[in-house]
Amino acid sequence: MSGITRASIAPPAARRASAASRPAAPPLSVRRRLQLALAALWLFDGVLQLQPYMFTKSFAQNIIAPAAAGNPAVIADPMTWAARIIAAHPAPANAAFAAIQLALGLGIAWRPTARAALACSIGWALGVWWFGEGLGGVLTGSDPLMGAPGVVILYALLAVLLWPSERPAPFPAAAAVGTRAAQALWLVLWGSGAYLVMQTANTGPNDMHDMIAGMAGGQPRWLSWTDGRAAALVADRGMAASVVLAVVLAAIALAVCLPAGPAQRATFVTALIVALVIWVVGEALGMVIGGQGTDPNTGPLLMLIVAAYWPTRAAGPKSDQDGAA
Amino acid sequence: MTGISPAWLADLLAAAMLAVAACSLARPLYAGRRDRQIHLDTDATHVLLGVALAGLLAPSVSVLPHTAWAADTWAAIFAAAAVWFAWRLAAAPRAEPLRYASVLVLCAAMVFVELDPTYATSGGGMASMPGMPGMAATTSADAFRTPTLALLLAFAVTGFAVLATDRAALLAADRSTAGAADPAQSADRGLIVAPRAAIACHVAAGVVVGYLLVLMLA
Repeated sequence: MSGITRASIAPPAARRASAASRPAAPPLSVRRRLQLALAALWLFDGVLQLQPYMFTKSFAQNIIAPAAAGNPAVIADPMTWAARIIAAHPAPANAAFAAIQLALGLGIAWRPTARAALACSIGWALGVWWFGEGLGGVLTGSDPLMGAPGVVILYALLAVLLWPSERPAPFPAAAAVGTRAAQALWLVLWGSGAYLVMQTANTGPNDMHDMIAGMAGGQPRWLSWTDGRAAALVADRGMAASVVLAVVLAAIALAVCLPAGPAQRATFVTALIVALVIWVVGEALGMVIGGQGTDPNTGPLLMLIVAAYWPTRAAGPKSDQDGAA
Repeated sequence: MTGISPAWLADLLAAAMLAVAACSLARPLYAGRRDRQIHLDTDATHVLLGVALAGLLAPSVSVLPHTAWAADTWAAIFAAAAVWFAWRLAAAPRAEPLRYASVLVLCAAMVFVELDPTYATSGGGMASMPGMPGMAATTSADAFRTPTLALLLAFAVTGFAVLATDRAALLAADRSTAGAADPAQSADRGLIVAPRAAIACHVAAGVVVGYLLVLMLA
């Protein structure tokens, strides 16, 4: 990056002349801003992947292999196979994983390669969703509060929704896939959350309490305190808390069908708050504090998705600001 | 904080940071001979960043011993740089604020890293490995742990690295446009020296600083 030029430490007149000769950077479109946020998350994931723990066998044995538990054999067997290979060669495998994620982040940020990087990120995310996350626990009754349907599938979803496009659209996510398809994807995402939160594994009297309380250990004091208070709030009220959360998630899912206006915006704000609560209370910031987090989990991705559905004021953005150059 | 391992990764990143320092040092020298513009304060900061980061990653290439006073010296240098860029940002908030803000955040993050007792006295690498000399430092480090701030800074540093990468493509477009519009510009006179190389240096330093901050989360 840059800081000060010879021109800018020159007398003011010369400085003005220099500034006038330099074309101003065009403002970033909303879509491009969201793409850059996605790129930053990929880059952050890549940096997290460089943590010492990830270069050990423990990464495969304690993070990847356990995700296979409870899945059907057709899903679990390839996961076990992949975990075995990674455990046998942890350093080169992890170096490759980190390099790929860093490259995806920088590739999306670098406009000439944005399309290619977004396309590659979809393939990579789908692979990790299966081999690394066991389909995000969708088939094992995982709770959205804990990261279902899996963080990497949200990366893939965002890559699709934020694909460079010149098409005018009522909200950024609709430009690439069309309004109907974007609405359907939103309905499936939040609707599946409402469904998953009501699964038997998540509705016991203390299921939610135990999940939240289990996240408090090893976290900063403020986060442990927050998780502790939240866990106490839902203790012995697991079913009631699950029903409330399911209703809220269902309402958010349906909000995309509302006409753009105060009611829809209010629901989107609620979605942002729910995503924040999921991230802080349910996911403890993705457990990145502790040295074993591979990503910040679904909270930030959900917020980004909400931003992608926020109604736009004007016509669609130009392609040269979209990473489509 | 967890130690930096594997060792080859620390060495690789240290080599990259030395390359950043060398590139940032070469730009002003080249610009002086060719009557080209440079970002003097940024290049100087990148040189310091490269040298300081290489020393943190690989103590064998550190220019200062891994003592508390050396860390304080680095922290003071980067604090001064942060003040400078904050002043530049405040004085000309519309003159490409991304330039100043991104270097400002990097400098602030470096102050944070250098003030971390583990990095300060043990060179990062072996700080918290059981049975290693850095063990004593780890105990004191725990008292100063502020992982939330480290996380926020890591987010900020990686975010600005992404913004800088995006900016690099625009610079390339500006350069070609300027050359086409004014043939005199095609002679390179007055143009910034290798702006994309400078941005690459910034991004590389940002990723490494982000990595050191992430290590502080453990």
